[in-house]
Amino acid sequence: MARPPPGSEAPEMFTVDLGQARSVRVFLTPGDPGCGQLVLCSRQSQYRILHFHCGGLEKLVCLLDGWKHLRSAGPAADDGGCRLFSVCGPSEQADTDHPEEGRHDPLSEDLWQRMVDHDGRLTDPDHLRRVVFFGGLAPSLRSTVWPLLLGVLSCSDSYSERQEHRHRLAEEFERICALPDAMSLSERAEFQRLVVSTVDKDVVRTEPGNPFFCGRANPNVQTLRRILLGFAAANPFLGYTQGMSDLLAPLLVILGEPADAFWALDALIKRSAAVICPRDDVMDVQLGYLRELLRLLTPDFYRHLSTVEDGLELLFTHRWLLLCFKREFAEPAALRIWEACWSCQQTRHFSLFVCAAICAAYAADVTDSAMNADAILLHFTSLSQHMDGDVVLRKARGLLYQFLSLDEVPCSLASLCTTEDGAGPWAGRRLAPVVCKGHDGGARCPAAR
Amino acid sequence: MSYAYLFKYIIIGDTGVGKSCLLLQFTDKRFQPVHDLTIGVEFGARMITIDGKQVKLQIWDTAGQEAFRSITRSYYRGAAGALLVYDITRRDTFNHLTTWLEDARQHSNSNMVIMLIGNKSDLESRRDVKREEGEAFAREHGLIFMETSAKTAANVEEAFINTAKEIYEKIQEGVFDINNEANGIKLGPQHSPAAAGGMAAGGLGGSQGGGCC
Repeated sequence: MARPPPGSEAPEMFTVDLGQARSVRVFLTPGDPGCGQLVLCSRQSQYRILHFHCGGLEKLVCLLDGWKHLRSAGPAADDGGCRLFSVCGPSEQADTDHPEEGRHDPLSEDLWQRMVDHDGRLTDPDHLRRVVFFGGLAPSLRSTVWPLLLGVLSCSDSYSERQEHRHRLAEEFERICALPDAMSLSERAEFQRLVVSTVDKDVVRTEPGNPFFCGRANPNVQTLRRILLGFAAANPFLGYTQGMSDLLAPLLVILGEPADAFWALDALIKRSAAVICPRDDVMDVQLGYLRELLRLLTPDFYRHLSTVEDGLELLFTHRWLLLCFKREFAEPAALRIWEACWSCQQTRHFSLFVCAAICAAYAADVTDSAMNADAILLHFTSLSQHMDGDVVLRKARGLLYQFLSLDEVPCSLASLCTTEDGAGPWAGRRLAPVVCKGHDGGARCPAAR
Repeated sequence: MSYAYLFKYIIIGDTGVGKSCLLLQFTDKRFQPVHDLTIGVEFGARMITIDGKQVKLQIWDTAGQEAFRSITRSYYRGAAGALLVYDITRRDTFNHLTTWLEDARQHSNSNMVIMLIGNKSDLESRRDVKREEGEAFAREHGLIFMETSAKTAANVEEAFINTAKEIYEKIQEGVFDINNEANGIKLGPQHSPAAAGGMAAGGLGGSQGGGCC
């Protein structure tokens, strides 16, 4: 069941004293009876996650259920032992699904061909976005569709117009790459110190396990470097921030051409609501929205956070936001989340709903065992790469629907689902009236006209 | 394995000085020059023995780039020990120590034990910061000092363990209030009436949870 990785010294068998566990949880995979994950958490917040790919989990559930009844029949358990055994099935969430859930298949080649006219123009760009948002898209279409979702290329252009535009962008990219050569000596020294030295260190540790980037003197690593240096030279205010290389890597793998990857990164950084540079003000705005969303959508978890010292700093979400969940989920799931965020259905801040969905799906343990801020950070860090991306995405869509169905929207979240702060592809709509809930120190309401 | 004490450590210093490599060498006894860039914070843990007692070190490994400083500050809270790392082959990383130290002192509790580490001692031919300079800086600021190599493992054990010894001594002297978790020290479960045991054994003792079958 728990085979250790090759070369590790861990024994093939291990024992767990349930009396010393903080919690035992079973996460059942939707539509796959007996499959899912068994998550054991020790009192020191160490996790062991066992994946059941071929069924059998239901037998364990019966066994543990029996054990639970046995325990609760005995004397009151105040010895600090395990009091929590629960089965977290996906069935609970059916009533909170987005009504359009399940109505869209992933975008296929066939459907794509039907979406474009004979010149390659998209007849209904919004339909494309809705399909991607709810159904995802076939990996083979990514290189075609990503530039459209990101707004690098225009949906209303024909094939040949798009090609022309790409050529212009490629030329512009070459010009940008030459920018450092034109710097004065002092500028170049500064650029070397602030940007080049860090980029050089970072590109070799970007997805080192990915065959596309591994090995000495890999040309793709040099391409990463060229793109990042170009971006920093063309955008001195943004410069280079660690994390950019992580976001760029999949763009280069999927799009192939360095210039295409460069412009996708540029669009991602400038047009999306992603927090690429962890500047205090950008991060603070996002965290402010997220706090409010959690208050509305996951009230129990929010209540717990507000009783914990520094809980509302939401430290555990920083990496989620900085890398748009890339390190939290296995890559296929992470890319589906990216695409859902880029499709900007009804909000350009879908990533915040994904954050709230992770909390809704995986924070029960936090609340039940009254974790402090450090333990919460440990909890979510241990869950990285082990969460179910599809469950989280579905939940996030449900939470967005729930938010859009509110009778009134607090003014603190007024700009979350409007077109005001980004026209074009980031269009959305506001449904409910905005209500001012008062502000600290009598500050003016941001939603006031 | 159950512990008597748990100490929270934080590793800080400029990007690329070898923070994650030091951690990996200490927890897994291996050197992996090519690893994922640290964004935010990563965790490691290892059990050591001091004065016959089991002490668990819970180590927070942070991102080094300037832009992340404001995030890193939040991690100092409740740390009992800090490893402040520079790279002996890059003077820049030594020059930034004052800023790091100011940050650490300002955002941590005043009893936090700080160990100054000059890493990459195996790269003697490329040395840019003399050992004496590191010693002088440490003396001036009241820090413990060591040169280490995450690559050859030289002094890595000692760096982590000596810091723990210093913390342990402070506990013995009564400087740390062990009942206040804000000091970065936790009493182990064996000190509570529920007796020994712990969720022990197997893969569970490692640095982080998880691992697919």
